[in-house]
Amino acid sequence: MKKTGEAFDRLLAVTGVIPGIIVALLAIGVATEVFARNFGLTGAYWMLEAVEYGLLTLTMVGAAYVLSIGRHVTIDLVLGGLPPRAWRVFRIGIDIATVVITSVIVYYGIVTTHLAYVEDSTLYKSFEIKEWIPMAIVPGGMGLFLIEALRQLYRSITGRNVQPHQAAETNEVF
Amino acid sequence: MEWYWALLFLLGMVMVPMFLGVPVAIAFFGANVIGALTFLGGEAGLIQLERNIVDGLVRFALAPVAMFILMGEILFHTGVAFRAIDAIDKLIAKVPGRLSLVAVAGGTVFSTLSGSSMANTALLGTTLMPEMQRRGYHRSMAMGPILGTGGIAMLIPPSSLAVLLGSLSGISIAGILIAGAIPGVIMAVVHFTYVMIRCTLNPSLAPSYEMPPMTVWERIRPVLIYVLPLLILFGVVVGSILVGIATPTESASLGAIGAVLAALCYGSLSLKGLWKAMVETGKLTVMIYFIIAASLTFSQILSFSGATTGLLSLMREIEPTPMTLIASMMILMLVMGCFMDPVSIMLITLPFFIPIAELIKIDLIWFGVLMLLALEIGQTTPPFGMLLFVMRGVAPPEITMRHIYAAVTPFVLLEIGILIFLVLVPGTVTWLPELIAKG
Repeated sequence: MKKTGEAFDRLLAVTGVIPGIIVALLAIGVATEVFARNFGLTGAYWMLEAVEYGLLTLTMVGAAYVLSIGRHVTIDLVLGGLPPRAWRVFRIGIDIATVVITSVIVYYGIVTTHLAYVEDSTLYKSFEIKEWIPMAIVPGGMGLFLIEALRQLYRSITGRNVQPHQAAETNEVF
Repeated sequence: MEWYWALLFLLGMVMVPMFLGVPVAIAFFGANVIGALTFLGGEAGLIQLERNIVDGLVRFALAPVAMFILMGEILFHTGVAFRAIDAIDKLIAKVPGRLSLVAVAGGTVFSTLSGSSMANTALLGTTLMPEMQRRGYHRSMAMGPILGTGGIAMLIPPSSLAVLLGSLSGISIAGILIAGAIPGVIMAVVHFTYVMIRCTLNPSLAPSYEMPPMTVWERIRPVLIYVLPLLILFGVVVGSILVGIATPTESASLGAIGAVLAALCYGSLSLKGLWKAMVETGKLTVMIYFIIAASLTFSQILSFSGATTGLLSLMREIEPTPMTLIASMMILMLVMGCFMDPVSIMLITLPFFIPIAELIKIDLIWFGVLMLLALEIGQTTPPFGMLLFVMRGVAPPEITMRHIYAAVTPFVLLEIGILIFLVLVPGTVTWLPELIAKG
């Protein structure tokens, strides 16, 4: 069990760096395309679409890692001021809600991917791509997210999730 | 279900879990699941929800958000931004509130290089706070200007939030980026003037100190080396959009590559710095895009439930003046800003605000800038403005949240004053985009 947990941690660590790498690659790709186009060279006509699928991939791949480090945007209006016991009860409730909602998204993600696979539908833009491939990224990423949410629920139930002193620190976007 | 019940039900489904501490994205997903079951035909609605997640993220217009964040993170983690602040520090002579003015000027310059107000606040807090404390600056004059200028990054292009607002609302991204420039500069000038007046009237707020003697050249030289070349980067990013050779995504990517080249030219490019910038960019980007993925179905459900149409019909019946509506929307955002982050506020309000703005036929670019400013003010509004917590993270341990609230309050009031001015004088916002459109 411990080894499985460690292996999952390593997997999450990898998924934590992939989004940044994708953004950097997209920046290089788009900048190259701009130069090519403005210097009379043949631009990569598929770059626009590659960027779009890149955004989907990086979000879904990185979501579980961001959950594991507590960086998803959270409003700690109630949670931040609770005494430890009440905080733990609330925490368990939040984790259960996260698990239930994510399970629905994963399940219907699989259903939708399967439907697209059975229909053999194809997306035609710059290049042809089977619709089930981008569809599958959602249940894949949300599946990882679900596993991490279950781990957090387990930690909350066993008292391993500690109340942060600066909970609102996670409330950072721009 | 009557439209007002549907509206209350759906907003409650998002906002109650959100305020109880459920991650914002999960709160949206939860509301979408229940909303899809109720209003989108059950299972078919859930399948549509999955398709919307893909459609919501597969959007080229969202890409600049990530790339502007990357640009700012590269300049931050390679130390290029720190050198620029240091150069501005040398430039400003012995004047009342000198270090506070360095914070305003440095924050404004970094705003042209970074789309992130959080990075702005962290940078200025890290570089200037220790020196201000050593020089005996009052807390209000040490933290206030930093917090105030942290938000300028949201208005002065490139601004990640402006891009996000444009791509989610359909307002021209280039237009909204350009339109934010003059209000951003106005805000910087107002902050600068306020600091000077207060420190002149009460010198104990920022005790003057002897500076090592420096020639004019010694003052100007660091700016020529470490600040002016960086403004070329700003020129590339904004100029390429203006001239029409690049879309916002393309200009953002040029900015990110330019940031790497700048770090290379200054000899501060390191694999460690680049790696840290990439990883931090990844985290922030995922955080933002995940909420977007979750929230897009929400506006669709609102529309299907009849809530949006019902609200608009009510507006037609009541016939409030455009000014009343705009004032109400701004006040609502300011109140929400006390408790919520700007992305969540934007995603909850846009499905209503944009149709209302179109209904009363106001300039959408002007309205977008007003929204940005209201969101920016919300970031520094007690008790939960997120920049306040960023400041708490970089301030010395003895500084309490109460000190931070007191320091930021005058700047929040100044910014509300600027918001009122922009509402009353729309030309301040619309002049530059119109001029460029004519050109």
